Amino acid sequence: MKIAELIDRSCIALDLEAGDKAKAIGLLAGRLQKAGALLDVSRYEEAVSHREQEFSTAVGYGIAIPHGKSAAVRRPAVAFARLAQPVLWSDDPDDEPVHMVFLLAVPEADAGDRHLRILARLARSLLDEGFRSNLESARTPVDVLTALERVESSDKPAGGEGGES
Amino acid sequence: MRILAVTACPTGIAHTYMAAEALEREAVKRRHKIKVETQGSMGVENEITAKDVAEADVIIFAVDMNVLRADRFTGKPLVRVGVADAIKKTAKVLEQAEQAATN
Repeated sequence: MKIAELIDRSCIALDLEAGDKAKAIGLLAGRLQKAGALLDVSRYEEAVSHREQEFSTAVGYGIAIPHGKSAAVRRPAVAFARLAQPVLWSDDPDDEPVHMVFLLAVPEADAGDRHLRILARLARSLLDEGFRSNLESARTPVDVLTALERVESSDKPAGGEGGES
Repeated sequence: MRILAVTACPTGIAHTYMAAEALEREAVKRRHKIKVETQGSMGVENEITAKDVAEADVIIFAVDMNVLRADRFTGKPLVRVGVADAIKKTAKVLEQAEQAATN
């Protein structure tokens, strides 16, 4: 099971023109819809915006990971955009503008942990500077897929204790 | 020092795990030993044991919801922050933990 099974090349957008946060999410949700990952795009967007209201999904480094778990999702999927212009993600003064977005879609009743494990690993890998810089410099969607696969194969297993030196 | 942390967020899909990774990285950078239990969509993982608690100097809750079996940690110095703080202000959270442990 690989991240490549969750992210379709058509769901990777580089230098996407999105005037604001809602537009960015809407455009990416549209890509997921076209790729057949959603049953109902507007209900899915509602789930994402509901989650967003609980608290902002901006996670630093100019990255946001909006996500929706909803019955409107047919299969787990990821869409990625690097935005042409950064957008404000929240009113929180600590939140820097966002220029890279991972939109995650998870069905309400996901059959197993495998997909969730991949999403968890993706979230962890955002702390990897090399991974972020590969996303920044990607020139094609294939470059993004390569970066995702590379971080996936070099990843340590989840959990475990950090070393003491 | 020995640090234990629990991370949890409402959907348990992304922030729980990103916060765990951030805390692990920052703790190692500061030469602490850390174990992070994630309470997310996949349930409880890397579960903290009674032995872990007995040996720990400080506990961090990086959560936006209730911690499951929080009574395990009774009597230990505790720092409680939001899951986003653990991701975006990781160094500050570790500083708080260091202070709580030495007080």
